[in-house]
Amino acid sequence: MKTTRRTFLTGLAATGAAPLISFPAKAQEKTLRVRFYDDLAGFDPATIFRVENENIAFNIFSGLTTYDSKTGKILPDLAESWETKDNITWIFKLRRGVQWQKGFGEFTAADVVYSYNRILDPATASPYRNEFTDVKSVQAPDDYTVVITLNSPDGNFLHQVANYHQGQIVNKKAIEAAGKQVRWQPVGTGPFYLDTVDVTSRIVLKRHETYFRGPAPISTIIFQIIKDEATGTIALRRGEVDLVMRSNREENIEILRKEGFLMNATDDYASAHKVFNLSVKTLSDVRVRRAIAHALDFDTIIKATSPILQNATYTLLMPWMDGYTKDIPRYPFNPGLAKKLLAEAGYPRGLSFKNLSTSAQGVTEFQQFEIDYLSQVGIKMEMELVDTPTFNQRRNRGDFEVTTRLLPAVNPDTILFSFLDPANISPKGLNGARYDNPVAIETLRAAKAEIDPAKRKALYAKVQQIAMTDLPYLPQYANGVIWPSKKNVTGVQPNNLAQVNFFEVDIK
Amino acid sequence: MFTYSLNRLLQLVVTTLGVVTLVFFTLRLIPGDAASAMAGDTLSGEALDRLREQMGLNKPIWVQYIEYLQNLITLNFGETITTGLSIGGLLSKAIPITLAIAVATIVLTIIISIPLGTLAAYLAHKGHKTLDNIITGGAMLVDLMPSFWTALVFLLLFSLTLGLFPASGTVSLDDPAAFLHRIALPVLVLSVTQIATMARITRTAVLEILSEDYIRTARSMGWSELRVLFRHALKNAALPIVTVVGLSFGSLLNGTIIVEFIFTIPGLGSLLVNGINSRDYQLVQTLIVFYALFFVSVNFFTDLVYKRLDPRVQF
Amino acid sequence: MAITFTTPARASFLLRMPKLPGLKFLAGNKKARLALIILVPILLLTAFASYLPLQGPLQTNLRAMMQEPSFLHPFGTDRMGRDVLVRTLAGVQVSLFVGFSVAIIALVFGVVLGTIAGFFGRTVDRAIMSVVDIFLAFPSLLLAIGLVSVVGTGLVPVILAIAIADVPRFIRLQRSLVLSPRSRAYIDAARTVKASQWWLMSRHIVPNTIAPLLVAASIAAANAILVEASLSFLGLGIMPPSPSLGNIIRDGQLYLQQAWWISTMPGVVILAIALSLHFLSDGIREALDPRARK
Repeated sequence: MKTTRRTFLTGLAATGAAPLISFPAKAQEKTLRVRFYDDLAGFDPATIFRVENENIAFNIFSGLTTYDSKTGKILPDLAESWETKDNITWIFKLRRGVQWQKGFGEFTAADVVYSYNRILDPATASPYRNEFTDVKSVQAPDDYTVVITLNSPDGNFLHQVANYHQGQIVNKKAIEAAGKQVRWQPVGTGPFYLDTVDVTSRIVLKRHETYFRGPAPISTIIFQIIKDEATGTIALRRGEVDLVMRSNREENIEILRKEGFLMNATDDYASAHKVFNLSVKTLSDVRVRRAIAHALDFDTIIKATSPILQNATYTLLMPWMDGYTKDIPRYPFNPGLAKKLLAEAGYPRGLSFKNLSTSAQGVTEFQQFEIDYLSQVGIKMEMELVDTPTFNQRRNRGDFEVTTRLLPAVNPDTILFSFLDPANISPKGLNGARYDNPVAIETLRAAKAEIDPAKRKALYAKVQQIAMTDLPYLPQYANGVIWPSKKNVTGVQPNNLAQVNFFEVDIK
Repeated sequence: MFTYSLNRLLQLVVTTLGVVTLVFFTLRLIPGDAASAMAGDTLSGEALDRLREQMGLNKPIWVQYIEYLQNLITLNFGETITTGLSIGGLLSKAIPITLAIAVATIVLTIIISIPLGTLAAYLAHKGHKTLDNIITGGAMLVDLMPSFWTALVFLLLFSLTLGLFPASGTVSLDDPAAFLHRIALPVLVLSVTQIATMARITRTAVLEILSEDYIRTARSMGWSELRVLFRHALKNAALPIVTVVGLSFGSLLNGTIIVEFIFTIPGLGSLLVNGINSRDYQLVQTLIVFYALFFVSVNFFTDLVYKRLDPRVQF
Repeated sequence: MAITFTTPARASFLLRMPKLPGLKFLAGNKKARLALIILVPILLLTAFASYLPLQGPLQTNLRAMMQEPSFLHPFGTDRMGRDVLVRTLAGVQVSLFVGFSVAIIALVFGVVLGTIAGFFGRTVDRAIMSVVDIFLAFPSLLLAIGLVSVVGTGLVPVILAIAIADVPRFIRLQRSLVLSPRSRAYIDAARTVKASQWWLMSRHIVPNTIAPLLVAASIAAANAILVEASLSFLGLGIMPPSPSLGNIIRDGQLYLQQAWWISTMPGVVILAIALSLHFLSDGIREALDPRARK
């Protein structure tokens, strides 16, 4: 650790308001070993992708806001407080005395202006630039105040400046010093800094001693890259690692649970939806879409294929999201009704559709059950398997009859606008259904702009009701996330982004 | 010998150039490209185009090819597309690890398989059919087991149940003892197959020699069985065995890909699987060329050794 | 020299030209008989699997998940309640199809190109052999991985990917057989009587090379079945739900601790098939090469 005691003390002196943590055991050196399961791709917030990399960045950087790991509520992070009267002008009051990692000095409002302009700069080629399209200007009237003005009202703007992707604050000097290697030399204000990286074997994070919430209980985190699930499970059972980042296979989780490992979990992290291309003649009839919904018994399929990791879901949003409602039309399993609807739509002898998916896993168990169930009402689900890049391309172009999309997000607007806004009809955006209902989009826009919380909630509920009545997207299942750990590891709570805040983790 | 070596070397260069060209163009036939593979769920339309431009994928293909050749000759492998890291740097870390695993496997294989094969041959020669059949049959059986299966069984047995070897952990050449302990299991898995093959070949070669006249002569001169077996029979059977050691490098390289993946060893195989998953052309083409070059060179040296050992060999 | 097969030196004996007594000898050879005793019932069971009173290979049964082998399910059931025996038989079908297709493709291309190269020599030979050398520069699994990642997964791409690695080896083998002294003698003799080239090739040279090629082909078939399994493990082989022995083993090995039978049973079958193909090749070899008959 190069940030010496001196910088730390000056940091502390300047803090004043920061929680004064005394260090009963400053010398406490604890090492946490974590199984990491995917390829590394770098930690530059502007270009970062894939949830495992994002989890590292989440612990290195901070946003103006962040999320409560358990409830998902928005909390202050680098901003101590904020205010807005019209959802257009947002004023953030910043925390004082926050220190950058690796001796880059004190954090100020200029850093926020730099970070957000960097995302907006087309030269950065950030895929997250679209998240800031509403941003008109970012200004810093003084060192501890940031004023962001939007083009149109956005009641969910606090999500956009959270500790995630475009919301993460970077340091200008550090970015410029790193040059082309910027994704491997992240410098943030979070609880841990990046010590060393070996892309094929491990990542080492060390405690940021002058972190504004005080030093973390763990001093070193070693992320060991173990791709094979079976090996990862054995490594935990043998005690070679303390914690497994996201175990994805039911059979391994079963073994670990029986052996008494902790199942640190979050339910309903993101949901998968069947996307019906409404420009296909058969699928353009809402009765056909409802027949498909009634023919599929998702509850049973989930119990059979993935009882631990998946849950049934009935709307576009996750239960923990702002604006979520239970009060929507549902389509319980009812093959008789499905047949009746098909007959009404003019297909008494059934019909068939093509389902586009990736050949990477072949026909999944889930899909095999779907085929089974649909065939019982005379619907033939033909599988169209293509390799992953072609799949991504075709799905983004909207070149399919039916497909599946799982869109992880915290901001309900991300999901609703992506799926329902006619401006986002594929290939422009993710509205692969080509759904275009003026009432739905107007209600959605009104919901986004609304300041009164109760009215807002009602408007969001209405949007979901319309969407589930028209049924351009059929919710299939919600994925959970499990991080199994040894019993002595505490505080592992995957949040709604499937990420763990290691500041909260300790070894007892 | 000299002309032969020179000819062979020239052939090596031509083959290498062919390999490079083949790999480059084949990888570009891939439907979709690195940019769309990278983008996955999150990007579309404009954002994707921007990414493609950033990656240099929109240059004409022959420009990319010429640039690639120039860079190869100057040993400038460039950077990976997805991570922006120097490929040269990645290779210089991965090669010693894979090489160490390969060498350790060969050493272990030789130590076990040659005595085993010789023993089997001796037993067969002496008419102990059952024992010979057990060894040969066992070797064949093991040879045919898929390595990913053996790997998992070994993991469960040696690592989880017996606790002898680690299943994961740092792989670093700085501490040789820890390094050997860490690569023990993968080497064991790889060796099992190699041992089976090598033992069978040793058996055949030694068996053939044992019935030769001079062996009978040696016996009749009253030398001990062991001496006859190891001094004379094995020595004369060395030629085919040496060749096979060289040639089995191919299957050994195949094996390292799977074993490195399962045991998470950061060698060439892991890099390759990473590269294929993320469709990182730059990385994959360099690696495949490297594997091929490695393989061709080993064959080249095997041929030379063979030629030296047996001047009768005509090529 | 340097003909690389699964186990390279196995092929070295092929260079000694055997006599060709036809294939009658098989019945008289112990190993070949053993191979047939294993292979024939498996083949029959596989061929008639769809006529047996069993549930379909894809049919799921939620009330019979992960059951141990029993009278009703001799190989047990998997996580979706599918019968492992039925799936194994369906997998054998696919795997054998892969094995034999690869062997046939390799054989056909090997014979045609190898004969041309060996017979015409000079420029033709050099051209063919330099392409062969390029392909031989790749370890076979690497070549298959590379190709599958380009062409995509599925039955046909997998067969092609594996075959492409074998074809050059067969070309080399055939060429060396054509160039062997025995064939040379034929060629010289036929030339003196001014026989046509086509007649020469089809009547004298190719038949002489068939037996050793068959030996190599049965090894190649066994090898292809195993390579497909490796590809499946890496997620590049034949994809579920179409069962290949490779993907059944791969999926089953995840449950090795809870339900060993899911992957062990098809594993035993794959071993039995590969082993008998090897015995078959050994049988052919021993029948042809008296020196090896010990």
